Amino acid sequence: MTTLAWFSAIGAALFALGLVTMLLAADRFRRLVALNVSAAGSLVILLAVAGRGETADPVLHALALTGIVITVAFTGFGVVLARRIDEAEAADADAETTDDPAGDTIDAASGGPAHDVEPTRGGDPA
Amino acid sequence: MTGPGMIDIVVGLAVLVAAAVALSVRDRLTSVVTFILLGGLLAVLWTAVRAPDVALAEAAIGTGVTGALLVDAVADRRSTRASSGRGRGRLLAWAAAALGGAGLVVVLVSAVLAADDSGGVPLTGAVDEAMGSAAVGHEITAVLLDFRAYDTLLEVAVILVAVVGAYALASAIPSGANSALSAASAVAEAPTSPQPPAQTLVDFLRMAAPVLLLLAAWLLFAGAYEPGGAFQGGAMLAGTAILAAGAGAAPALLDGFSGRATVSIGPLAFLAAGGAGALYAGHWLHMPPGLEAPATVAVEAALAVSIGAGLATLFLTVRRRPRQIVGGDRS
Amino acid sequence: MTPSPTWAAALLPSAVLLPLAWAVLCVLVPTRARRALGPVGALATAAVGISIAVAVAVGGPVEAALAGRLPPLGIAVRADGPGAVFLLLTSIVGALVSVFAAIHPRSTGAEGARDWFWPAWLLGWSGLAAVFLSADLFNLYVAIEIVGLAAVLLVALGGRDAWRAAFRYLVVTVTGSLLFLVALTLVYAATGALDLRLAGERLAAGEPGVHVTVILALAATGMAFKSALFPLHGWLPDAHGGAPGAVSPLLSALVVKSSFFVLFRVWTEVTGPDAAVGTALGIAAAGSVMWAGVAAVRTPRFKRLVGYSTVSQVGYLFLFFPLSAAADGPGQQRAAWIAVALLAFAHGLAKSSLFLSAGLVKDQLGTDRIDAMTDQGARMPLVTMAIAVAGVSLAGLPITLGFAGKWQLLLAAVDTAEWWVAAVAVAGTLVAATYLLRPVQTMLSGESSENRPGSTRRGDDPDAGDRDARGLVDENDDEGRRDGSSAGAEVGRTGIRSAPRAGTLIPLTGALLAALAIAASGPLADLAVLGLALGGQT
Repeated sequence: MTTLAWFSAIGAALFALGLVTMLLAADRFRRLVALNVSAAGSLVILLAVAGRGETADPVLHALALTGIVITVAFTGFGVVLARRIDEAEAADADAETTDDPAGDTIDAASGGPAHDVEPTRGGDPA
Repeated sequence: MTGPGMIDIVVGLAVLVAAAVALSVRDRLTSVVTFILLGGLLAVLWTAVRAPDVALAEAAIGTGVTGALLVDAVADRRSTRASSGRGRGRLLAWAAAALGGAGLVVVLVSAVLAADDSGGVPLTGAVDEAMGSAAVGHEITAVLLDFRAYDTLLEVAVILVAVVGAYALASAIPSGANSALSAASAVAEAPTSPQPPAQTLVDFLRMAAPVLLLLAAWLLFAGAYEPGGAFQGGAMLAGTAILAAGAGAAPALLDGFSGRATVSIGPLAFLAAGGAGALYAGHWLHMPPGLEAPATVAVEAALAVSIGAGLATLFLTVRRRPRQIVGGDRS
Repeated sequence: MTPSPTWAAALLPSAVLLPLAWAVLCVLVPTRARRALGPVGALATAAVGISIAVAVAVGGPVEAALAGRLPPLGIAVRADGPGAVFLLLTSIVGALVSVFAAIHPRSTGAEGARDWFWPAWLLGWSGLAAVFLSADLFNLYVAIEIVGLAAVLLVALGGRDAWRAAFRYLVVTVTGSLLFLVALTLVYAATGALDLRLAGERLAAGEPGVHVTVILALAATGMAFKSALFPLHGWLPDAHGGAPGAVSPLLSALVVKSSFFVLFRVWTEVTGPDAAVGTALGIAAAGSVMWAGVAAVRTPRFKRLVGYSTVSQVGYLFLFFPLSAAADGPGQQRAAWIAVALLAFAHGLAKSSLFLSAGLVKDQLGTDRIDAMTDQGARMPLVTMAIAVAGVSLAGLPITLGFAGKWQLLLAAVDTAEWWVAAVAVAGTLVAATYLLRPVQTMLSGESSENRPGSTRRGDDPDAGDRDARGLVDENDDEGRRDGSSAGAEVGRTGIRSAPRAGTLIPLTGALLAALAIAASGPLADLAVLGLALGGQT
């Protein structure tokens, strides 16, 4: 087995592991970690290809750097979004548990659309 | 080609195990901490494949900033338990996906090997030839800021999108909120943490901050001739800001208008230099002729500041200071 | 040697750089200024886009070298026929929606979040332009990442109810991008080039192997995720339905096309047609057209209906690939592409018009349930007309641009003897006519179709559908009527909820364009194939 084959296998394994988890897991933060694992896997493959010759390929290294920054941008926004969703769900749960008639009216008034949105089925794409 | 050495095998396996653990533990915090460990192992892996620039960036951005973001988001007693999916039907889906994933691995590895055999010549030779006309001495920096500058500009735009997203989410007023609810949510996002930051942390910050800032500057300017550059320097800046935030001293520079200005300075500088190049050299994103080296360094510095400010703003918006961040903006 | 720029070549990068710079400007200025500055930037960008398209139509493909570097080391930016057509579509739809958003700021997002609409949209626009003008694989990757993240952000502007859909969309779009990244790694490994043309030449000249098919399969799967091709379409109705009123048209008309375009580039310039991948895509496309069409017939909410319609129409676009794989020469390839380009153009205009109308209806009535639209047609004549005209074009009925596209599609299918494509197109048209004209019928007639036992809904399972619909109608009927009437009363009293009159003209403009542009179908077709590269392994 060559070095290229070994690292490609590692990269592919990370990539597939991350991808599957990202699409099927239910917890949003788990999916964000999986996103990073998958991105790391793709970079392992990229850099394995870069390391083929005697000198490392600078173009692919530059691409890898760009890839890392893009991934952190997505993760950053994803974390803020997931956090806001969690806070909103927690606030909903609080409003329900307090026996506040005002709470019920609010739910009815802000009504239809919120209830008709499908709950995320853990990202099952179909 | 030689086979993988001992280190390659060990690090590869370690990375795989760490990833598997990070993705399977129930507790969110453990998952994130293992992920940070994974980041460290990845940095070692990058050095093993002779990619020191990437190793630096991975350690600073991939592990440092991402880790901080995730830890800050999940280190909250109410949310440590990962919500689980629903029962039996999922088992079938996971099994099918596992099978598919294994197939994907086989397909990918064979494709890589087939592509390699197809005899592609990497661009290393072309880069070496062109280095004579580049403004900096380090190949990777030349690729990023000269040959493929357009990609770098677009990638800075991605950061800007993420920051705008963070601002937008921070500004969103929850719909249907009456006064009681909004008071409750205001308390939930209270900017001050329940306990004051540990004194050791504050002391460490006092000692470390100047050093870290110097290190950031060094990484930035070293990028002209050695591994380093705008990304690594910028990540270092973000790390310092995050550390400061942890010690209760989040830089006020990132609030309101000055925050938006700091995040924008990178793309603005790049566009200005590139526009000047269009006027004087006839090509967009060409540095002004005669001033290539100083212009490149200036643009790189601006990029580092922007990247640092952008990543730090993302961190600050997660739990801490959403109101202050967008504060001076709304009338 | 660096090429010398003509005015068009100098203008080319500004299609991307102008909206980018303007977006940065919008970030810096306070909120009030943004509402004035944003539309100006949008119109300027649209003008640049249209100029470039005209320049290409008149003078042929235009190229520019950035930073004075050429491939293989540098990045080439190129406006050829296909890119110009999509850039033109982006400019027109972008201008229409921007004017709408300027007149009707409440449609740009939830309170607070809508302050950030203009920077987000301008950044997204710059990404779209970058996709359509790019001739480099990694550049395409970064560009679709901009578009993807901007699109997720724009969905999230819709407020709390849209956040979950936005997160799901984020996961889907990143999945697609990562698959594409691995594909481009393989291309570089095999050819040492990232430029589309160079990579295509070298790939064709290199040793054949499994990697070519894998590259195409990975890219196709990735773009199928991003374009919501069946069966990977689950995220779209929620995301496009939950997005703010001015955002949904942008997503359906432009964003899903950009990922299709990337696959088109890889298929035509890098790897060349492949029978196996073409068949797989064809099956998925047929599934999109029919499955989503049936789902659209059955859904009780207007915005979701329009979302399902997008999934269905994307299926038509992906029919290009099986047709191209079955083509036996450049002539048939061109015919297939012309059909799809016309369909994409018509769809972009009509779908944006439809979504804008849906947003206006929801504002007026307080809900987007179709049965709440009963007999509202007289109160919103312009909007009703827009929905009707857009629906006709979307369904591909004569004599609209959509019809021209469908006709070309049928011709191409017959030419290449791919009869099943023709069958899908015809069946899809029938289903589309059903679900698109139902809201119009509801608005104009005095009864909602659900309340009539022998209802005119064809092509679906009548019992289950009616039972579901009646169940929903029973539960929420009172609420729907209460919402509708209270909203109506509110409008009467205070007029807060109604959109400005001028705003209702815009969907109508879009719909009319979608129909009347059939007059331009000839020039559009010519533009679409200008400089069309059919390289790679054939």
